[in-house]
Amino acid sequence: MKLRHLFIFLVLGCCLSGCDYYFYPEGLDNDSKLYVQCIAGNGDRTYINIQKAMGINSVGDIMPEIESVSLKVNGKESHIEKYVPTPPDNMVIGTKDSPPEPFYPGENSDYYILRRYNIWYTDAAVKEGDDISLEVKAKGMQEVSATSKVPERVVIKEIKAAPRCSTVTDIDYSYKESFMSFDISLEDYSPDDYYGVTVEQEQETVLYYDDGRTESYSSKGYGRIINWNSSQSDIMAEIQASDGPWTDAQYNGYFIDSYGSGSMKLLPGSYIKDGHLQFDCDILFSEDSENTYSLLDEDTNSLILRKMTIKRDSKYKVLVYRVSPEFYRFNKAQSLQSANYLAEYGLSPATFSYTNVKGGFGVLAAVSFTSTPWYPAPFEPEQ
Amino acid sequence: MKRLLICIALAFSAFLPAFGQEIERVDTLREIRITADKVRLDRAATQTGLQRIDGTLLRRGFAFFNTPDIIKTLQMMPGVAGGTELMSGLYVHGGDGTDNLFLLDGVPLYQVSHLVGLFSSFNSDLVEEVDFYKSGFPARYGGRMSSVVDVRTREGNFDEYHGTFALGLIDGRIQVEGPIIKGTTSFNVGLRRTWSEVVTIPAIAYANRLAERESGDDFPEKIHASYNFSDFNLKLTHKFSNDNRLSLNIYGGEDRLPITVKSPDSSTENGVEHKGYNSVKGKLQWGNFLASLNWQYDITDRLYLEATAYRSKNKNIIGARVSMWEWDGKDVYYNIGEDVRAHTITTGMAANAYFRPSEAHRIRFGATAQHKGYAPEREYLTESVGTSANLKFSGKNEVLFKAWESSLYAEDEIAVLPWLKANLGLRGALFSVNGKNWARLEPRASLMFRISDASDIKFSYTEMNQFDHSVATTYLDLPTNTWMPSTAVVQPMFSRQFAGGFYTKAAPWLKITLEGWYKTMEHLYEYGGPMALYPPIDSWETLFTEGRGKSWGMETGFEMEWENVTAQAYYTLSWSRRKFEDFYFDWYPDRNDNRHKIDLLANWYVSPRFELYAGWHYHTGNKMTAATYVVKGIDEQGNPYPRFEIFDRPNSLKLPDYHRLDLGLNFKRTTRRGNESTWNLSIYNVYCRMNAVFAQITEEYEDYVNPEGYNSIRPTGRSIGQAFGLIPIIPTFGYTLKF
Repeated sequence: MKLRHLFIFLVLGCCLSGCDYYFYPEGLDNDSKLYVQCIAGNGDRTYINIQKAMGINSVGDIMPEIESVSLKVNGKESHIEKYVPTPPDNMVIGTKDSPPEPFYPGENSDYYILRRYNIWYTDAAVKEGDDISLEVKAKGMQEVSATSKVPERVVIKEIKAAPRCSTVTDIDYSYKESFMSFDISLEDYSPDDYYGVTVEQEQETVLYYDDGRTESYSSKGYGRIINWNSSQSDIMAEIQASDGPWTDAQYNGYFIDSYGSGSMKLLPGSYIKDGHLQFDCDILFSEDSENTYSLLDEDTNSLILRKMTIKRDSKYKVLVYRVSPEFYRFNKAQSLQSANYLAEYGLSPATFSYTNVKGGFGVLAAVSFTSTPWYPAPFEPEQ
Repeated sequence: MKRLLICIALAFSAFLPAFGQEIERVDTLREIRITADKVRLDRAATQTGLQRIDGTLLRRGFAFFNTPDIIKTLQMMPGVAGGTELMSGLYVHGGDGTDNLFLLDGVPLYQVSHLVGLFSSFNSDLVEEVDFYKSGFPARYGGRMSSVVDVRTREGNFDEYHGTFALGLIDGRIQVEGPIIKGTTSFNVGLRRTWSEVVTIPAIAYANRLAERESGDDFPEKIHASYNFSDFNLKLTHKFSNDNRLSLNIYGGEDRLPITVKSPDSSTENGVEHKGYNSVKGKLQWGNFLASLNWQYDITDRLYLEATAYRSKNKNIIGARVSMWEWDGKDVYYNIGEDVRAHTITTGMAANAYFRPSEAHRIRFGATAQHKGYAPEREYLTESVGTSANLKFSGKNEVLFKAWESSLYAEDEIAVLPWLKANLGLRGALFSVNGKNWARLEPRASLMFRISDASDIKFSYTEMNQFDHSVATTYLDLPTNTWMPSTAVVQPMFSRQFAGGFYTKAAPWLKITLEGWYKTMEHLYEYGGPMALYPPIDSWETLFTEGRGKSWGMETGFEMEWENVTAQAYYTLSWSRRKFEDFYFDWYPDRNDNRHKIDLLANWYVSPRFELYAGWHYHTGNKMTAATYVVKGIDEQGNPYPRFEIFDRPNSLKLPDYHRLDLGLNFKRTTRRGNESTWNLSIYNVYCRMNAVFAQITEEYEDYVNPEGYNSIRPTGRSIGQAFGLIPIIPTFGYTLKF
């Protein structure tokens, strides 16, 4: 190292030394509050997920000891039960003697399995216009309560869908892409309401081998929620409802993908122009294609290539939701908060966790949805 | 990715470690002489909260980087928060920093800083006087909500040529004034420019050469970057008579940051390999241009008229150009470029009259009419293939608002009784945009009670409206920030302020002031959309959340002056609150809610040739939003589930308190030609307190030995703050020559 390099390093070292340091934050909370998440809807089952929100500086058991859970619909108590799933085989069970790593000091390791399933449910379906209220008591913690109202179901007047392709020009390259363009006309649209939309997809794949065999695969019953087209500029309107905790729980009537591969599009009514809900999304198109497969020739003991035809028939359906304001605000806040890195450093306005739970955190919200029939997906448009 | 985003956001701030010495200006040190001379509370004025900064005395002191800075001077005043260290933030009585009316010779200026706020745009060489109002705004001022900074530039000398030349560590400036027609017409011109490129360009070229040598490649990746800013001021004055004069004022200031990254590439054509570059050229360019024509006429000893016509433009350009396959810098096979331009243009006229029926009675009245054009986002796309002959040019996403802002005002200052003086005023403002009219009446009142020859008590009540809204997605003063008008959806910002104070000269060497205020603010707007460096203009009306604010507090000042020593002590006790119901249901502290603020300043005139300065500054730490609760889960393998953090209330975290000590000295001598020269040495942040510029909350970990016997770390379950300080001790020096 030459002398000048040493000098530069010394100067930089002096300037940068102590650039960051740690401090114990003042005025932050040490107490704990209940965290409740419950989405009621016009489907068949309503889940209530209860956890403990611990003050940022508190140490201790992370599970609340629940004393009572009360869900009322129009003032009448609903029958609820504790949800006790069977742990999957691959689940590592921690015990006091053999805690899983890493181990949080002060936590009761016996809870390691069950804490994830601190869930109650009711099969008593709620209806449009129902008032719902929730109260939860836990030992040593403040009682929490929340109310919401199940919104009216959306009436779809007309649905138009057309395959399209377009050129996307970026700053350093351009490319073509295909997508479906939807125009859903709503009969009872209101700019003061909040809406959600998902597009689900199923695909049936049949392989026709050249020796006459056929093989089929179907995702029927395991439909996936498709992605929204990336070219859509109204980023505000797209809410990644999968952000936040425990969204992989199956809520009433719909499924929010926990892995971020699909999302519900949430939007305030003011975004819907003249009752037309318009959006693009990247659906799976139907497809016919030729391919090859390998077959073992037993005579020569070698692989030979054979031909096969693949037919993929895709179907889609659209679910349009009217959601309660709490549902929209909660998910909007979660979505914005999870992506705002600058706010973590205090360099831009932060988004705050929405809650309508008095005395605690979380959300009690409600949705009503209308589903279209399954439509056959067209073939991909020519680029 | 997170770090990358932070780095981009802090692109300018990131200069600090590397160029910290260049960027820093400790106006604080210069200000040490301020309070007795440069800055003074005007006891004779009826208004509360008025502080006057004398330009001549301001320039007499030294300054860090040898450049006096008005904004940073104001930051030290009681009742004012400076925000992020070294930035040109001005948060007056709980304001949001975008609500200060900056007037340069009566013309509003939109952007008042260079380099993300590290330097203010005002060249102090031309400044004659600055009136700074924190409360008690006279009716002649309007259009902003929290403060008025009225900067007036100096006329050139009508008889002799004079000037100033100054050189600091990062910039140099020259100012020349004199007669064009002796006794009748004069000029005063000033130029300031950074000269940091003298260092940065060779340094980057050297780094490129080192990279080339190490890679052994004829076509290594190359980076070219530089930054500079400049200011130009011109004031031409013509005297028709002693009572009748016309002046032309021009100001232009601009920041430029060009960056080019060249990546090597090659292709084979007809068996011949060609080597060349793909290049990405980016540029950031932002600044102001202002021109005004001012006519002043004393019709009689009792009646004075003033008329001003002006045009003020603020512009931002962010551009990128990608050249694919640039061979030997000659052939460009594919070229695509994109410029995003934003500007705000105000063209206006103002007429003011000043009538003095008697010594005890003064009346002012006047009118302004401004046409405002807002083009917050104009995107230009250029594309060429092969040669520039195939150039395509298109503009899109143009959003343009045109608005009219007109106002009428009248104020009457009258000595009702020997011990009671009043300034009563009314301002009417009308703002029209896209068919929407906002009409506002703004009452202003100030009362002064003289309780003894040495003591006064003052009260004031003011209402202010603001029709321009700064649209920014971050708290940084980035060139991507722009201005938008009040619309049918976005209402004008509004403030109402009560202030009162006690002012006394307790001893020949001691002046004491004690002021209190209570201020409410309506229709504040804060960004509530997804993270973005460029504001989403298409949907800004819905993405910006409306809220309210209130602020109250008390500020005191002790100004002491002995034969060779002056000292000032300022203390502010204040609260600043916000309520944005989309964010939080209740009131919460503002991020600049500094409970205590102390500024201690002293200077010692050791001899006519030697001066010493010292200043100590303290304020309670700024606030930032951090998670206050956390929900911990566990995944199917028994591992801790990613923490789900709850941000239950805004600005919940208090950063560590801010404090620093500055020291400096001025050494003056007279040159052989009789000119005065000054060498200035100053040390910013003497004890190298790394004050937190920003921070984050993270998990605290501890060391432990795991069951297998290996050293490892594990979370303690507690959270800990990690503060990032960027400004270490910075010594600087500068040289000034007056001729």
